[in-house]
Amino acid sequence: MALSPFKAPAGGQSKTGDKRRILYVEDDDVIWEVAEFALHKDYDITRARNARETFDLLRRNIYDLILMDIQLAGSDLDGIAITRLLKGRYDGTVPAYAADVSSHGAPIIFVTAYTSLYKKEDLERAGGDERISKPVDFTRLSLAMTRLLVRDL
Amino acid sequence: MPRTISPTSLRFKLVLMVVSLVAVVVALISGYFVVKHQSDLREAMTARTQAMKTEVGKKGIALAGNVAMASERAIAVLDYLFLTEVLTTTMKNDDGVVYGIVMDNERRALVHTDTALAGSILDGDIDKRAAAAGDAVAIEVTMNGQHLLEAVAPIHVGGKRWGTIRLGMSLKRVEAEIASYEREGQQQITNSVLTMVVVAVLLIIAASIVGATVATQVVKPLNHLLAGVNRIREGDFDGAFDVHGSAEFMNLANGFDAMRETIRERDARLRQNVEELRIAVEKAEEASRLKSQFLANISHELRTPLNAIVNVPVTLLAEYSVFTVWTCGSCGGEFQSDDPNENPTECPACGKATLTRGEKVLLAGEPAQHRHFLNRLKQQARHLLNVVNDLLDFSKVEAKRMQLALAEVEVAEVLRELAETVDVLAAGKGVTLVYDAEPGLKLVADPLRLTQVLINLVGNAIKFTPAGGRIDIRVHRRGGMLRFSVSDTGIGIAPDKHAIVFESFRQVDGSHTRAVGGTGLGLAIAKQLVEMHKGHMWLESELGKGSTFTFDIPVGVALPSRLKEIEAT
Repeated sequence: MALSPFKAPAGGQSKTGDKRRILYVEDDDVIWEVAEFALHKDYDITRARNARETFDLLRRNIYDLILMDIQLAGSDLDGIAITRLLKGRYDGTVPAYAADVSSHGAPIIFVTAYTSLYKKEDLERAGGDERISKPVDFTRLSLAMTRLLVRDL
Repeated sequence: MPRTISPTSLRFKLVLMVVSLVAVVVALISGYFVVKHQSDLREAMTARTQAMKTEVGKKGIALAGNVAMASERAIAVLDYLFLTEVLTTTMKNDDGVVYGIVMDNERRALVHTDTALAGSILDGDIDKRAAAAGDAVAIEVTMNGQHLLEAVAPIHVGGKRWGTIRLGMSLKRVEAEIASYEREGQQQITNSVLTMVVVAVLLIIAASIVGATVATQVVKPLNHLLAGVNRIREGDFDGAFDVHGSAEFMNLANGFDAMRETIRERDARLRQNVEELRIAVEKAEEASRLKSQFLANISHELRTPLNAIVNVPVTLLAEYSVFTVWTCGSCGGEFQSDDPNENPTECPACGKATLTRGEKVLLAGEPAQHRHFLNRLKQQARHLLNVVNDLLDFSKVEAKRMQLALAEVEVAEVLRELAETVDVLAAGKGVTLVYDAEPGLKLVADPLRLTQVLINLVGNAIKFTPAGGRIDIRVHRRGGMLRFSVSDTGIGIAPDKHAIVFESFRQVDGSHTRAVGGTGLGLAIAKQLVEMHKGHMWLESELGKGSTFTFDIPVGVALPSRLKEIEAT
C-alpha cells in the first residue's frame, strides 16, 4: 500500500548556524519589514536606520555583505557618502562616530528607488558593487548577493 | 576701422582758399593798375614831348622867319657882319638857340656861329633837307650826338630864293623837363605800388581772419557733431547734439538726433530682448531641473509602495505548502502517497472505493504575521493610490480641466471626514489633533476637494511635527468668508522658503537625507483648489516655531444666488 494517513510536515525549515550576515541600511520601515520578511530565512539580516547606526553596528560586528539605501531620512550622511567612507573614497569631513570603522571588505549593493537620478557608473565610482532598483526583485537581489558572496570566499 | 586722417585740416584748407582767392584778386587788380598807370604815363609824356617840341619848333620857326627877314637887306648889300650880329643877338636873346647858319642856294655857309660845329652842321643830308624846305619848317636832327631841332626858313632876296637860314634849337630844356616829369610819374607809380602792397597785405590779413572765422563757423559745429557721435559710440544716448549755426548744421544735428533716438530705442529693445531671453532660458533651465527632480521624486514615491505591493504577495505565497491528498467520501480519512502518479480508489481505512484526489494547502508561518503583512499591503496600495490621485489631480489642475462639484457643505461634516483619515496618522505619530470650529458653519464648496485640502494640510503638519506635538485645526466665520487654519508645533519653514512652498515639484528640503518624502505636489494642488473656490491660501511660519497654513473661502461665492440663503441660516 503506497497510501499512508496524511501528516502535515513540521514547519520552519529555515537555516540555522551558518547563515551569512547581512547589514541593511534602510530608513523606511515598510521596505525594511518586507525585506526582512523575505530574506530572514536565508540570511542573518540586521537593520541600520542611518549613518550613525551603520557605523555603530560595523564597529561591533563583521558583516558579509551590505545592502545600502541612498536616501536616508534623518541621517547626516546619505548612502553614497557612507559607501565612499567605507571604501576609502570619501573626501569630506569624517564624523567622529565613523572614525576607524571598517566594513572588512564587505561588498555593497545599492538598493534605491531613485533609479533615474544615479547613473550606474556614478554608483560604481562611489564603491557600489551592484545596484538593485526598488521595488526590489528578491530573486535578482538573491542572485546578486550569492554571486558577491561566492566571489568573496 | 578709423580712416587715415589727412594732416591738413578743413580749417587750414578753408583759410588757405580764402587767402589765395584774395591774394589773386589783389595781384590782378594791382597789376592792372600798375600797367595802366605806366601806359598812361608814357602816353602823356609822348604827348607832352610832342607839344613842347612843337612849341620849340614854332619859336625856332618864328625866330628863323625874323632872322630871314632881317637878313634880306644885309645879304643884298653883302653885309655879312650884320648877318653875324643878327644871329649872335638872336642867340644871346634866347639861350635855346645853340647855333645859326646862313647858307646860300649852293648850300655854302656864309655865316656860321660855331665854327667848331661847321663840319657837322654842314652835314649834307641836313643841308639838302633844309634847302628843300619851301617854307619855314622845323626838322629834328642829331648833331654831334646832340638831339636838336633845327628851324629852317628860306631867305628871299628880291622875291627870289637866295638861301636858307638854319637855327639850332636846343631840346635840352625839353628833355630835362620830360625827364623830371617821367621821374615824377615813376615815383607816383612806385608809390601806388607800395600802397597796393600794403593794402594787399592788409587785405590778406583781413582775409585770413575772415577765413578763420568762417572756418570756425564750419568746424565748430562739426567738432560738436563729432563729440556727440563719440558719446553715442561710448553708449551715452542722453546728451543732445550741442550744435548751433547754419541751417545745414542744424539739419545735420537734427538728423543725428533722430538717428541717436533710433539707435537708443533699438539698443534698449535689444537689451530687453536679451534680458527676456536670458530670463526665459533661466526659467526653462530651472523648470527642466525641477521636472527632472520631480520625475525622480515621482519615481521614488511610486516605487516605495510598489516594493511592498510586489514583494509581500510573493513572500506570503512562499509560506503556503500544497500537498496532493486523497480523501475518503465515506469515512472522511485523508491519505498521502509516496508516488504522486498513483491513482488509488479504495480507502485504506474503510475499504470502500470512495477515494477522491485533491489538494490540501497549508500555511507555514504565523497567521498574525500574515495578517500584519496583508495590512501593510493594503496600506501601501492605498498610499500608491493616493500618489496616483495626486498626480492625476495635479495634471487636471495644470490642464485647467479640474471641475468642482459644488454643493452646500456643512463644515462639521467636512471635519468628520478629515478626522477619519488623519486621526489614525496622528495617533501613530503620537501627535495630538485639536479641532475648534464654530457650530453650524456652512458654505458652498466641493466637499471632496475641501476635505482633500484639509487632509493635505493636516497630513503635512503630522509629517513635520515630532511626537508629543500638537496640531490645531480651526474654522471661523470672518465677514463673507470662512477662515480655515492648520497650526502645528513642527520644525517650521524659514521665511525665505515660504514662496517656494506652494510651487509645483518643490520641496523645501530636496536633499537625500531629508526626513520626509512626498511628490512635492500636495501644497501646490491644495492652493490651486482653494483658488478655484475664489479663496486664498497663505503661510505663516518661523524656523523651529511651527507653521500655520491658513485659507479663506467665500461662503457662497460659487453660487451667488444661494449666498443670502446661507447667510440667513
